[in-house]
Amino acid sequence: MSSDRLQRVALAAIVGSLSLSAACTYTEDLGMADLRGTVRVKKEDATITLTNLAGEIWEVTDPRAIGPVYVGVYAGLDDSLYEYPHPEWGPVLGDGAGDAFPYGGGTVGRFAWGCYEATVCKTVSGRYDSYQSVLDFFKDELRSPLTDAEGNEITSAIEFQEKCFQAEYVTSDGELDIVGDTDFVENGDYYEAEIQILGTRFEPGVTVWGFIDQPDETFSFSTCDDSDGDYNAYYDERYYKGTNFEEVLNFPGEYIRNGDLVSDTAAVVDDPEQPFTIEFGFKYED
Amino acid sequence: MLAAAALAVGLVGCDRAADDLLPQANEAAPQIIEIGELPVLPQSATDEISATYCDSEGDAPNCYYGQVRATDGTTVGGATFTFKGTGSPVCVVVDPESLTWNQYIGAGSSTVTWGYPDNNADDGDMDLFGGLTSYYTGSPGIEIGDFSGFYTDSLGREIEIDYVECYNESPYTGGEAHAGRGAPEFCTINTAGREGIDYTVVLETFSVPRDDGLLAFSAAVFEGRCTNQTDSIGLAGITECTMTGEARTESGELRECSRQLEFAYCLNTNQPSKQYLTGFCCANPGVCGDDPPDGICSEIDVGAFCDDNPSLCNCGT
Repeated sequence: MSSDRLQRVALAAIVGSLSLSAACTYTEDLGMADLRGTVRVKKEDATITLTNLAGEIWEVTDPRAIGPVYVGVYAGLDDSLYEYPHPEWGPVLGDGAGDAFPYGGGTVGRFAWGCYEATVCKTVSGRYDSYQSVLDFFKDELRSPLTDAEGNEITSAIEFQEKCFQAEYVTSDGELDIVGDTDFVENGDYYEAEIQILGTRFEPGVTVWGFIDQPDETFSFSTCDDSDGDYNAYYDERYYKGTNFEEVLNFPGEYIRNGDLVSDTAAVVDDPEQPFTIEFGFKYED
Repeated sequence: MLAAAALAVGLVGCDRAADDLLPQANEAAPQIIEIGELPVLPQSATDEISATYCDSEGDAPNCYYGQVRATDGTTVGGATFTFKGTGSPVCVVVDPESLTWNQYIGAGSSTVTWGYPDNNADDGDMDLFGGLTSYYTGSPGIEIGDFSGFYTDSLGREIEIDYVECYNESPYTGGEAHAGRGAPEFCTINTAGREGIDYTVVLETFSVPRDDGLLAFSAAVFEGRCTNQTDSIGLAGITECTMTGEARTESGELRECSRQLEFAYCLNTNQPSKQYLTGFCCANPGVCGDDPPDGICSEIDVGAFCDDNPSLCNCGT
């Protein structure tokens, strides 16, 4: 190849590269944004009261007991339909509870099956850093040790991990939701967690609001449907693994129950680059 | 030469019009009708409902039996009617003519329960939905509409909302579903807090029978949720036999043997081992489909069947 020809090829490559670089600056103006922020709850507000068939009543203050945190982006807040601050509602029709038409949303934690039927709708992702932590929480805090299908107590974290690997067809903890990095950290009197709301529709002035589905006295969650989700078919173990109901952020009024924590200070976001903070300071008691 | 012959044969094959696969235009009924206001009937009315019962009170019908023709292919056809909210849930029902079943074509006995074929040229389908009249966008009797509207939130975002308060319900799941050709469709509307408020129900033409280009149907509104109807046949209470005799001739007369066919179908559904449908079709072959399996009627004692069920036999004579 002559040097002339080489120069022409090099020039063409440079021009092409510049054109492509310019194309990368194209802004689509989709009206969407990624919001990032912090959710916080006072430890005393996160305390739950549990009971058992023997009539024992006890309190648990532990970040592992915090249910899924549902956070939505809305047009604004209202307080006319319920006793707690809630998103503004669209028209209420027939049997419906009214749709809040969220712009977007996210959660801190979601229902994560813990490889045994006893964990269906009881365990949330981002709450346990190890299998031993799950076993300890069930035994010490819930006072109901985790058991297998035959009712035998699971006492070994290794046995627990092996069951998960077999049941989920995985070979590493990183492929499971039940264990991993935890969401909440202690900060003085608060538990705090980071949250991302990715790809939400955005208008300056949107309001970020949410609630925590706290467990009732039997450690059950109102937003979990134990008749839905993935199906576990492991030899003679056959049941649904449980998952959240649909449209929780559209119809939060259908799911907020006694003891749930509602954000009393919603964040108004004008700049999506600025992080928001919301605190769940309203404990709903019906 | 061979190729030319094959091409000629192929071209002749392309000459088929296939008109018989489409319903033909029939001016005996309009494309779109407005029925008017129907009362909300007590649940006990499901035991006695018929075309006669519907027309029994002069100009104010209890319910409706009628027909529409096939659309011209560019506009939506169907019927609309209104009713007033009672302050409680009501059940809206439409039953298009006539009824359909899938013929069993397995290798088993020819006398199986659903072995006789259905006449699928006499079946049509309507889809049901409804809501508050104030949200209805159609022009009754002129144009079929919907219940779409807009809600603007406090930041000015305009959201399109479907104000439909009921769609066809599945008798199996309770969710939205389409019952299929000839099958009744129904839905519950909770009118709580809206006593005396007008609701509009849309019966949208989906499929018109090929035999006459006319879709006959019946429609009614009952008190209570659809699952609470007193009719005991079927999973959700509403069945082919909740409203019978909806199949009509071009002149509007009850189509011969159509009620008996519906009764045979319902009995067959409840007691499959008694072969009501096969017995009925063997006794009245003109009402059911063509080309039944060889020997299906020789393997059932039609005479004995008719002795036991005289109302299902010789209905055309």
